[in-house]
Order: sequence, then structure tokens, then C-alpha cells
Amino acid sequence: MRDDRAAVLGQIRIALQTAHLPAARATLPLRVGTGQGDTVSLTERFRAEVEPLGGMTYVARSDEQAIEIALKVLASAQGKELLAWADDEIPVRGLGAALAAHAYTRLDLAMPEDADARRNKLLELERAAAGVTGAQAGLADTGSLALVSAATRPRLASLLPATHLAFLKTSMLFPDMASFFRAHPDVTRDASNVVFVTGPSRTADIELTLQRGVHGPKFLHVVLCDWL
Amino acid sequence: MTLKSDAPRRAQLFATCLIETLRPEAGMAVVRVLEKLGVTVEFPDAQTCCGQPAFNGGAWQDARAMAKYTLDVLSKSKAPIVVPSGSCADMLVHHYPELLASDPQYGPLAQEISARTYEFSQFLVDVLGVTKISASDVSRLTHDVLRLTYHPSCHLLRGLNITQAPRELLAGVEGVNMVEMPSATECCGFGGLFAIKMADISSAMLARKLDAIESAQVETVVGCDVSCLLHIAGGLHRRGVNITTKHLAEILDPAPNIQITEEMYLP
Amino acid sequence: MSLHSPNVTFHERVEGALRDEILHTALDRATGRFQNLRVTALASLPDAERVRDRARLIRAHTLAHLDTYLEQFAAKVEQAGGQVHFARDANALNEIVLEIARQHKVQSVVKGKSMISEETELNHALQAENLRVVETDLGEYIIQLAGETPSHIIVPAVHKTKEQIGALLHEKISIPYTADPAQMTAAARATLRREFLNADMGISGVNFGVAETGTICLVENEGNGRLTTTAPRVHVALMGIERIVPTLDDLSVMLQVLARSATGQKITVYTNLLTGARRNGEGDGPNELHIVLLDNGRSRVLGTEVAEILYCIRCGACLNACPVYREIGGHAYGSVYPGPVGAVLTPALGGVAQWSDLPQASSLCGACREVCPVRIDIPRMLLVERDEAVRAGKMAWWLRLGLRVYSVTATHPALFRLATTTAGWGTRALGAFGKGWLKRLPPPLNGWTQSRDFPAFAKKSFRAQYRESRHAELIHLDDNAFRE
Repeated sequence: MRDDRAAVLGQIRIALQTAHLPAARATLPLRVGTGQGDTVSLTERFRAEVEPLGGMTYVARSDEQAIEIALKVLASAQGKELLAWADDEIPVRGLGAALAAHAYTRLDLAMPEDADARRNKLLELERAAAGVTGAQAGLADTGSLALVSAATRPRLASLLPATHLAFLKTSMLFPDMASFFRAHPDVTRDASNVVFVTGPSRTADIELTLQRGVHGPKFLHVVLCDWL
Repeated sequence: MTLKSDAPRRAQLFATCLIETLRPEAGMAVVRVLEKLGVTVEFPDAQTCCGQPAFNGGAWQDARAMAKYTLDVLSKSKAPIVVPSGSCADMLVHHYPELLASDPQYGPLAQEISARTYEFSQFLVDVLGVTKISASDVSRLTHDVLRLTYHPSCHLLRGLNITQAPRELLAGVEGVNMVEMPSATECCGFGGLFAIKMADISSAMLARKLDAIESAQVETVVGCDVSCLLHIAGGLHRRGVNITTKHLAEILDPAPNIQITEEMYLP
Repeated sequence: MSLHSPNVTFHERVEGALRDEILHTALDRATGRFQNLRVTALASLPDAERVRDRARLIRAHTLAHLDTYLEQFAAKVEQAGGQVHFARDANALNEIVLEIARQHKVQSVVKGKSMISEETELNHALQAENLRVVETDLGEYIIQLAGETPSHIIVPAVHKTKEQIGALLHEKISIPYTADPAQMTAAARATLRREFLNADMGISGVNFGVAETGTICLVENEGNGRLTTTAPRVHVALMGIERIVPTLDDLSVMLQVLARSATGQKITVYTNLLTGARRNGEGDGPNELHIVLLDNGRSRVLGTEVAEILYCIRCGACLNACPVYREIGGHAYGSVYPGPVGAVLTPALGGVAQWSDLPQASSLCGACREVCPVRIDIPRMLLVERDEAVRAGKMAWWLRLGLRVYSVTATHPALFRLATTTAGWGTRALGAFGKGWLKRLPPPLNGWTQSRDFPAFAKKSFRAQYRESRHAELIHLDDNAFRE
């Protein structure tokens, strides 16, 4: 396949001999990501940021409370089929069993390589009423969830269904994105997809009128697991 | 009124070509205000135009010729330079050094002149240390109360970053009622040759500015740039609206109503 | 709409735009709202001005070492299992994307928002090969159904009313007519969901490429970006060669100002970081990731006085702040890049000779520079391009001559006084009927008197008045001396 790499890089090197780049410096200033905060204040901030965007938050003090909240949230979604992360990836003990006991089933998310099989698979997954995930981190200053992909943490669970239910350990709250990167410098090396989710999907493309749930989930529920 | 202890006692006035030809009364007001404040005004007689029309038009070769000429005129005296126009001051302060950056003779001179060039309100507040022009400093306005609105011209505001000086000076004048117009910091649409070459767009921008001024229900629009004021005045006149335009100096002027006629002075 | 000069002149497009009431209302509402939201959002950022300084520094530093960072970026992407392609120009990019499509027997393509694809007119190239191409950003989708081009970087369909959109959806995707944005959005979701699930290839833009990790960052609010980069088998990401940042830290700085400047959000709903293709064992995501880096004149611009325009992070804040953009909207610029940034970038990439009107479409008010998150000095570069246009012979002869005469006059004080005196007589004679105002100026100056009167020159110039006042002072002093 065509590739102009050498030509383009060569042209850039010639250009750099005459480039007029105001404010350019040989080195950049010190690193960022020194924000601080205790769990209580970070939790408050996270909730204060995401609620106005339409994200619902709940604080659970035990596994039982978390499960109770989850069942209430899922009851509001239409249907019993779920797209979910593996049990180990969700920090609530007994959630899997409780969901099964309430007749919820999980769709298998493994995507086949073959084009037609893949298409059929996606159509099947489209039926799911809700997605259930954990979260690798929360960013307090923006009210964002960090979702890091892995075999046991499929991307579509937080994307296809109209309802997304996420469980976040409050001990995993960071003041901001830079402090998250500082704590997990290799996060992008280990996962093909890291997404920061901040509230439900939205658009204002028609006469600047805010609409939720245009392509991604319309409802975002975050259960903050406070005992972890 | 006490001025800064190190306030200069002399200043060169670069009057600008528009004051020279279209609004001499604004220039005379500048002279009177400066003199009232104890500053001796020098007027280098050979001055003409700073060259901004050519610079903004893209005729940089012509602009350079005018810049060099003006630098020669202004460098004959060591006194700070006062320019009663944000736009022309911005030209001297920022664009002369850029325009002549690679000129071994005029490049350094442009830097030197840039460092001692001030827009009128900036000179009063930052250099002289004027904080309030009160009744003891200026003779009274003929009005009981003058309702005015201030138009911060673009190059003054965003070129020279002069935001407060004109407002402080106006606020200090007794009998002035300052009314803020909507979206005051928006461009009036003048832009030099832009008003002619892009007349449609410029006219639409002016219409917004005139609407804003009219909505403030004032007697006078005050600014620090005769160029924008003439543009606005032309628009107001076309609309048949009776609102005057005044340079800041004309509001601060100790003798605003004295008409200078030859008869008054000839022996 | 690409960087090809359109058939209609700039002035004709401007005239059309100024007459369009719907456009005006929409532009007023959008630009006004975004300006307010931007101010509020930046106020929520501690130390916002320093963050902007830092963001500017990052952009400048990156471009000063662009070759190194691009090589590092490409190497890291490849390490992570992605494929990198460099395209010298628009045709090369389209050719590369088509080749990938052929290799994978692609029949249908879903697209996230990508300015690069607009620049290269990729949709035309794909459709010419009988591929089905669907834009998935709601605004872009509406624009595509209407057969139009975006009028705003952030809100592509800002020039259309909800009634127009309702009629369009009714006609094109056969839903019952409604002007309710909620119902229209739901209908578009359902229609586009089928497109996502059927598509073989997803094409997206890129906001930033991170050199240290080979990560591409894609920000969006709708989720169409996520679906475009997750559901189809192949993901092709298009980016300009200048859109690199060195580290994840630097990325976090850029993200602090991007959404705030664009839509007034602290962060967009989805901030996607994509590194290489689907890893072994990952259940979903594309099988292949291709990143196509477009030059198309950028490396040449890098070597010029207007290289600073490459700092741009495409937030659109300068459009919302620009009083010219607010009057004429995006289409009038005739380029995929409208507004102040487009007025500099379009001639820089496409040639000043072809686009000589755009740098003139500014009053140089500086509002763009004031709001730019990376403090790009757009007015400075408009002036540089005006100079270039004049040197390329693109200035009207009368103006060129006028400025030359003016310059000669202004460097000879006696001549200057003579000229101003003569002009004074002239204007006063012409203005005598209008009590000192001229209602009409002759061509080519008649643009002025289209909407404003022109004042006659003062009877007595400042110079004359000043001299007299000095004269009077002397007499006054003499008087006093006499009295003593």
C-alpha cells in the first residue's frame, strides 16, 4: 500500500529549519497531576459534577445495599437480558447470583472475526436492556468514569443498551485525569480502549436543544461503593 | 490632584492623521488636558500618518516606508510619545517592531520608540498617575448630567489590553452618568479598508453596534479612537439619530466650549 | 467542500448569507450561547490562564519537534498492533482508505465526525467505488441527508431549523413528520443503530495523537464515535500530521481547555483513548486499526510565518467570538475550515492566490485571539497573508496605487499638508449640501456610504489650530510681561 512517510517526514525536517513557532521551548514544564483530596470530598465532588449532567449516583455502604440499588435500577429498564462485565470485574460480592435469582440473563459478548457472524452477533446484543459494568477509576473534577477494556471488560456493555449501570469503588476516585494517568502510566499500553464516560450520551445538534441518549446510553447510573 | 513623583514633564503628541483632518477638536482637547496636568506638549510638525492603512491592507512595503519616516520624526526628541488613538498606538507599540524586525537600523529604533509610546488614557493613568479628574482639575461641563456610553475600541482593548484606564477616567468626571451598552466590547465593523472592501459585512456589524448604542439611550458615545467614532458617527447620522461621538479627551477637557477662532488671538 | 476554490465568488456567498434570516437567527443563538458557556466553563477551571499558557507551550513544543514525535507516535501505534499510513495529499489519503476497504471487502462505512475527510472529500471517493457511506454524528447526518456541507465546526447543522430538519427526515428516512427534537433524535438513533451494526468499516477523526503511547484520543458527546470505533471490523482513523501531543499528561492539559472552549463543557461525554487494535482476548472492538496521517500542505505551512495556525485544536471558539462569522456563517467562507481559523488556514493550505479574499474578511478586532485556548495570534497571520496576497498581485489596482500614493505623500510632510488641504476642500465642497456630511462617495469608495455618511474634513486642521494656540499663548505671555 502507498505510504508517503519518508517524503512527509523529510518535508517536515526541511520546514523546521525556517519554522516560526512562537512560544516553542526545548523542554516542557514539570508534570501535572498533583491534585489531592480525601475520599469523602472526592465522592461529593464526583456526584456534584455528574448529577447536573443527568447521571444518577447512589452511595452504597455494603454489598447488600449495592445489590438492592442495582435491582431497582434494572427494574426500570425494559427487559431481562444484560450485557455485563465478568463478575470479578464488578466490586460487589453476590451481584451475579442476585441477578440470576431475579431471572436476568447475560448475553455472550465475544465477537467473532468473520464479517457475517459479527453482524449477527451485534444484532443479538442489540436486544440487551441494560449494561452492567465496574469502573477502573472515577475522576472527581469532571464526574467521569474511567472504563478500561479487557477480555472480561467488553466495551459494548457501556455503549449499546439504553441503560448503563456502573459500580465504582470510592477508593478509586482521583482528583483529575492527570492524577489518574500518574497512578496508571501504562493504562493505554495494556488496553486497546480507555474511555472516560461523563454523564449520559447527549446532543444539541437540532436547534441547540439538549437531547439525551442519542447513540449511547440515555440513562447512566453510578453506584459508589463506599465500603471498598 | 497629585501625580506620580516621577511623572514626565514633557510629552510628544503624535496626533494621528484622522485627528489632523477630521477631528482636530479632539486633538486640541488632548493638548489642553495634558497641559492642565503640567505636561509640556511637543508637537513634531513633520508628523503625518503611522502607516496603518497600508499595513492592514497588506501593502507592507509602503507601510515600512511610513513607519521609518515616523520613527525618524519621533526619535528627534527623547520625550515619551502620547497617541490619542488605541489603534495607532498599537501600530507603533506592536507592529512597528514586527514590521522592521529584520532591519538592522530601524529594528532597534522601533523597539526603543515602542517602549516609550502610550495611548492617551494609558499615559494619564499609568504614566502620570491620574486617578480622578475632579472639579478642581477641570472646569465644569455645561450639562447637569451627561449620559454617555463607552465604546472600547478593539485595538485599545485587545491590542494594548487597556481595559480600565478610560473607564476610571470617565468615572472620575463629575456629572457623567456612565451607561453600559450591550456587548460593548464588540467591534463596530470599521477595520480600515475593511469598511470599504467588505462593505456588506462591515455595515451589518455597524448596524449591531448602532442598535446597542441606541438601546443605551445616551447623549454621547465616548471612545479613544477617532476612527471608530467617525464610523459610528457616520452610521448615526445616516440613521438620523441625535447622539454625538466624543473622544475621551473631549470629556476630560478643561475648556470644552471655547471655540478657538483667529479673531480671538490676532492683535 | 474541500480546499478547492468554489465557482461562486466570496462576495456572492456573503450577499446570500446576509440575506438569509434563518441563518442569522441560528447563528446569533448558537454563537451567543457558546460564548457564554465558554466563559462560565473556563471560570470553573482553577488557574485557567496558566493552563492556556501551558497548552500553547505544548503545541509550540510539539511542532518544533514534529518529526521526532511523529516517528515515536508511529512506532508506538505499530507496537500496539495498529497500522500507520502517511498521506502526502488528499488523493493519497483517499487512495489509502479505498485500498484498506478493498482488502477487507468493505461494503458499508459508518463515519464519525472528521474534518480531514471533508478536506479530502473522502465521501465522494468512497461513493465513487459504490461504497455506502453514512455520517453518524446527528448534525453531520442531517447535513448529509440534505446534501449540504457543515456551517459550523461544532454544530454542523446550526443553520437549519427544527421544522426544516423534520421535513428532511420525513422525506429521506420516511418517518412521520415531526418538529420535536426528541422524536427526531430517537428516529435518527434507531436508523443509525442499524447502520452501525451493519457496517464493515468505521472512519473517525482524531483530536490528538499521543506520541509516548501511540494512543489516539477522540472526544464526542453522542456515542457515535464510540460505536464507529467499536462495532465495525475495521477502524480507520484520519488525522492531520500536526495533531500530536507528546505525553498523556500533555493530553490531559489539552482536554482541560478543548471542551470548555468548544461547547462550554468541562469534558465531553465520551473521551476515547484508543491504542492499537483489539488485544488478544478482548471480546469486542475492531480487528484492525489503521491511522492515516494527512500532510496536504501542513509540512509546507510549518516552514512559514503562519506555522502558528497549526497550533489549532479545532475547538471553534474563534468562530463563536468572530463578529464577521456571526454575520455570514460558515458556508460563505467556501472552505471546510470557516471562521477566523479558516481564514488563515485555508489560504495557508490551499494557496493565498486562490483564497485571497479570506484574509480580508476580518476587521482585525482580535476577538479570536482573545478566546483561543492556545492563544493563536490569528490577526497577525491574517496580516501576513494580506502582505503575501499583495505581493502575489492580488490587490485591486486602484487600492494598490492609492496606498502607494498615500505612502509617498505621508513621507513628505509638505506634500502631506498639501494633500490633506486639497482633500479638505474637496470633501467640504461635496459635503456642503449635507451640512458637513457626504451621503455618497464615488466608486471605489462607495462601500462606505452604503450604510454611513462620511464627514467633511475640518475647516481648520489640527496642525493649524495647534499653531494658533501656541501663537495665542505667546501673545498672552507678552500681555503679562507688559502689565508687569
